[in-house]
This record gives sequence, C-alpha cells and structure tokens, in this order.
Amino acid sequence: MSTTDLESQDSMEAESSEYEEDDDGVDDYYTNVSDDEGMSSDKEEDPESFEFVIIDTNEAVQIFDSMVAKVSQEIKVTKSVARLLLIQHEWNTEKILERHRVDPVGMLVEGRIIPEKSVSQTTTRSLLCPVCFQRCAKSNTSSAPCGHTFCNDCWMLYCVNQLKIGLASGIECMNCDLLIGEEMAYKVLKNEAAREKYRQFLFNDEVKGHPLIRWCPGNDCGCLVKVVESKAKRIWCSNCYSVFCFMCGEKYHAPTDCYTIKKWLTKCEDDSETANYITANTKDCPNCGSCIEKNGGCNHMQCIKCKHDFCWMCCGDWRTHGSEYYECSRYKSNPNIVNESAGIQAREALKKYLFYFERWQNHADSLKREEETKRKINQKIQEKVNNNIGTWIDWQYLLDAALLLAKCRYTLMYTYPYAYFMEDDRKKLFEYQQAQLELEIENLSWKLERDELYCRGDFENQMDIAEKRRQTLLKDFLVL
Amino acid sequence: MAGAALKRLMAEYKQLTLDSPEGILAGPLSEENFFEWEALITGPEGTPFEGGVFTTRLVFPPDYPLSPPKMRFTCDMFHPNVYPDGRVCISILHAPGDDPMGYESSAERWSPVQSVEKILLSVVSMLAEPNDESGANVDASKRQRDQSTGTTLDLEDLDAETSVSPSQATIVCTP
Repeated sequence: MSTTDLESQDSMEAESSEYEEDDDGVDDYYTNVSDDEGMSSDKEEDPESFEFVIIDTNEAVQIFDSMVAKVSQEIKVTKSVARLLLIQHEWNTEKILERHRVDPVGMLVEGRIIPEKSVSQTTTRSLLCPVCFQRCAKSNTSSAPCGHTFCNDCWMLYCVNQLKIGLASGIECMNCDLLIGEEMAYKVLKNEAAREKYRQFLFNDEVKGHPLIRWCPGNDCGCLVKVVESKAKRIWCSNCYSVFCFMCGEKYHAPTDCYTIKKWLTKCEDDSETANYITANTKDCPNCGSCIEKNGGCNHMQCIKCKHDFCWMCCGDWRTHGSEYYECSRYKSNPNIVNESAGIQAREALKKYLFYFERWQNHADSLKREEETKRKINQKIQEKVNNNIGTWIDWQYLLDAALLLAKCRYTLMYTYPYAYFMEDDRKKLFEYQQAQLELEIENLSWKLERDELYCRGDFENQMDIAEKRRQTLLKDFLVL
Repeated sequence: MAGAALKRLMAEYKQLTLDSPEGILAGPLSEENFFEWEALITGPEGTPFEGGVFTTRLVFPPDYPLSPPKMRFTCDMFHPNVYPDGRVCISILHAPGDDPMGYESSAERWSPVQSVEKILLSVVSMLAEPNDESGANVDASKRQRDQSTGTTLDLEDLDAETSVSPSQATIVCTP
C-alpha cells in the first residue's frame, strides 16, 4: 500500500490536508508515473473531495476590496456605491456589468442608490435641520443623493441608533428609503468606536451576501472559509478543528442533504413523537377525558381523577362487566374503529422513528467514546512494546484503524436520517449498502477490541473494505 | 442623547404654541419634564366624534426623534384603531421594522422628520377615516365593517352602544 493510499483512509484531518499537498505539486509528480494513473482518477471520483481554503478576516477584506475597486473602476462609480451594488448582487461582477450596460440608471434606482426623481438641493448657505430644528451652516450638513439634508450631528445620532439595531449597509436616509453608503457613514460617524462597529457590521453584510464565503460556525472562531462552488460538502476548519457542511453550517451530514438533516434534528428535538407515544400507549378516560396509561395487567381501570371504573379493552363502564366480562374478547364490529386505527397508525409511526433514532443515537454514543478508545489503544501499544512484541511504529496501524472506524461510524450515523425520510424505490439498495457498511465496521470494531496478535495485513484489508463500502454508499447517494 | 431630544422637544413646543393647526393643542404636562406631553384633539366635523374634545398623553423616549413617542387616549375612545386601554395603533407611531399588523409600507412609518404636529394630524384623520383592516379594538372594527355602506361610523348607532358620546366626552375633557 502506497503512502497516499493510506492517507486517503486516514483521519478527516489528513483528507482535508490533501488539498494543500496537491497545491504543492504532489499531484504533478504522480501524474508522471503511469502506475498511479488509476489511483489518481480514483481520487478525483472521491465523492467527498471539495476544494476550499480557510482564510482570516484580513484576507477576506482584501478579496472584497479588490472586487469593489474593480467594479468601481469598470462602471465609474464611487467605491461606496460599488460595495452596495456588489452586496446586493451577491458579488456577481458580471451581472452588475451586464445590467450597467443595459440599464445603468435602473440598476441604481432599484438598488436604492439614486432617487427616481432628484430633489432640488437648497442653495442657501444655512438651513434649518428638520430633525433637531436648529439652524446650521451648510458645510455642516450632509445628504444622500435624494437631497434630504440634515445636520451632521443628527446624522451621527441616527447612524449610531441604526447600528444598535444591527444595520450597516442597510442604513437608509432619514426621510426616504435611499441607502446612505459607507462614504457618508464614515463622514458623519466621528467616534472611532462607532466607525469600528460600522466597519464590522458592513463586513458581516459583505460575508452574508457572498455565496462562496461563510463564517466558520465554530465557537469564537474568527475564520472564514472560501470555496470554489457552493455545495453541501465537508469543510474542516484548520483553526478551531470544527467539521461542518458549507451550505448549512451544521455538522457535516453526508449522505443526508441539508434539508433532510434539519428536518431530522428538529424532529429529534420537538415533541412530535411524544404525541405519538401518547396516542399509541394511552387511552382517554371515557368519563372525564384524562389521559391514562395502563401500568398493570388488569383490565379493570379506575380513573384517578374522577374515580370512574371502566374496562381498558372496550372503554365501557366496568359495572356491565360483572357478569359478562368476556364480552370484550368477542369480536364485534368496532364502533370505535376510527380512534383505534389512529392509535395503530401512531404506534407504527413511533416504532419507525424509534428504530431509526436508536441506531442514530447508538453511533453518536460510540463516537463520543472515541477518545476513550484511542486512550485504550495507546495503552495497548505501550504494553506490547514493553513486552517486546513489535516496536511502537509497528502498532501504529491500530490507531489508523480507530480513526477510520470513527469516520465510517460518522457516515453511518448520518445514513439513518436519510433512510428515515427516504420514500422511493432506491431505499432497498440504500439499505443493502448501509447494512454492508454496518457489517464491515462491526468486524473492524471487533478486531480492534479483541485481537491480540499482530495481524496488520488483516487489519489493512478490513480497513480497505470498510472505506470502499463507505465511498460506494456516498458515491451512489450523496446528493449534490 | 437626551440633550438633543430635549432641544428638539422644546423647539417643537415653541412652534406649536406659535402656530398650531386648528383643533389641536399640545404641550408638556409640566415644564420640569419635557418628555411627557398632553394633547387635546377636537373631533373632526361630520364624524361621530364631532363636538368632542379628546385628551391624549404622549410619552417621548430619550432618543427622540430617532424613536417615535408612545401615545394613548386618556379618555374613553371607541374606535377601531384604538386599543381598549387607549393606545393608538397608527403607522406613523411605528418605527420602520416593527409592523404589528404586517402590512404598513415603511414610507408611512415613523422617521426622524416626523413631528408631534404630524402625529396629531394623522390621528385626526384616523378619527375621520378608521382603518378596519388593522383592528386594535375588535368590537369597533366589527361594527365598522357591518356598516360598510359608508366610510364613517354611524353616529346614532355608536351613541346607543358606547358610553363615549360626544357630549359626554366634552364634559369629561373640559380642562
């Protein structure tokens, strides 16, 4: 097994670092070797491969600023206007240039950058500010292109107020809905703290508007991730080590798609299954309607609230059961059929949900114990080395196996929400592949925990099979 | 912040005392506190409110005029756009962004260029033309809709139903 092959089976970390290596020209090196051609095409087909870079805010600012400079030069507008246009058009430079060619005025009007009809500017040297009612020199006033003029003090108070509610690029004129833009905001915001806040909020707006850049969702991680195309693929942040999906920012969830995983997580959190449990396992007291769960074998129930005695089977009054109890076991066309079938349906739905949830939770729990497993393996390696059975380096394959196991478990865990919501005829194939992967990783897991002998070959074979199964499943079902 | 608000309120008060629109009277409750005003509104002619004088209370936030004041009628007021506790539901008193009924355009909402005078004029026209789309008082809105033949409330019907007849209001509100 060559080194690169091992790498591809390595931890998630190793896989994301592949790109960096590719950049260093490792790929070029391999393409010259004919033997490896098959392998490199394998790599291209890896359904999880995804090109991305982790950048810090300074780099992001540079990216944004260079685009702003380009657009402002191309269509001869101020940088302030160019930035607003880029945020509004999701940083699609071509679209802006195209619209500028066809209808430059329309684009600016629609973007709330220039007014539909311009307002005549006052020509007097001083004016009465309509907000504070103070007379002030014209030099101390500002206005957006709409011509609504106010004194700079009022503008400043207003902008600070707007920043408080989280607006930056969206700050409008005080009298109409024209946007005021950064140029004017910086002019009126005298306070350095306020300027800094504006700068931050504006940057946030820029990131939000950019389809290929997003914040890393890790706790307090100030990094951003930049991708080449917007897809629901795995991102691994080299700063805070969080692994997440580029599209939704949730934990990476292949082969389930963003929409389904959200539905699943919401379902796991909300009470819909509690309701199903209640329908499936309780009955309402026929007298007072309280919800009752049967806790013993006897069918004679007494409502704890209203003391009504009734039969659990037919919900009839218990008094009628004194002489003819076995009436209930005789089949009668059920007048209560509607309620009954609802109960049965609920029971089925609950059963289905619990089936998938149990498996999902099981893998989640196993993954939580990953650290523990690692510690145990390290201990085992230490023992072996102390007993002079092989060298430290000989036993490292056990750790590799544990990492691969975690990776496969992770994918497997996320196959269950997918299967829960799956309706079509591919479900059979999916479940088959799922079962295959499940089997392989159980084998691997068993080996890892029990095997005492040195059987690296066996292990690597098993690891290879497991990873192949995982890849096949993803290749067939990962929705892009 | 509050300094700017105080200056502005004083300026508005001055302007209103010098030249106030017909049927409107407004000013701070006391010279000590410029952030709480009382305003008197005479009912517009040709409406069930004709001949009445209605008292309202305006409370200004410290960041006025960036945020709108709160306004409530301190007399009884049976009107589709006035809550039973007297609060007025009118778009000019809502800051852009908060839209309790979800249909106001931001152009008719509060902005720093609005003023007490404009609010009161809006309330006068609200009295004349209730908006039954945004019912603050459901009973009043329902009555308004039931009589949808005209745009104004039926004077006699209203008089029979509510304690706020114009004559009563006049008595209640005479300073």
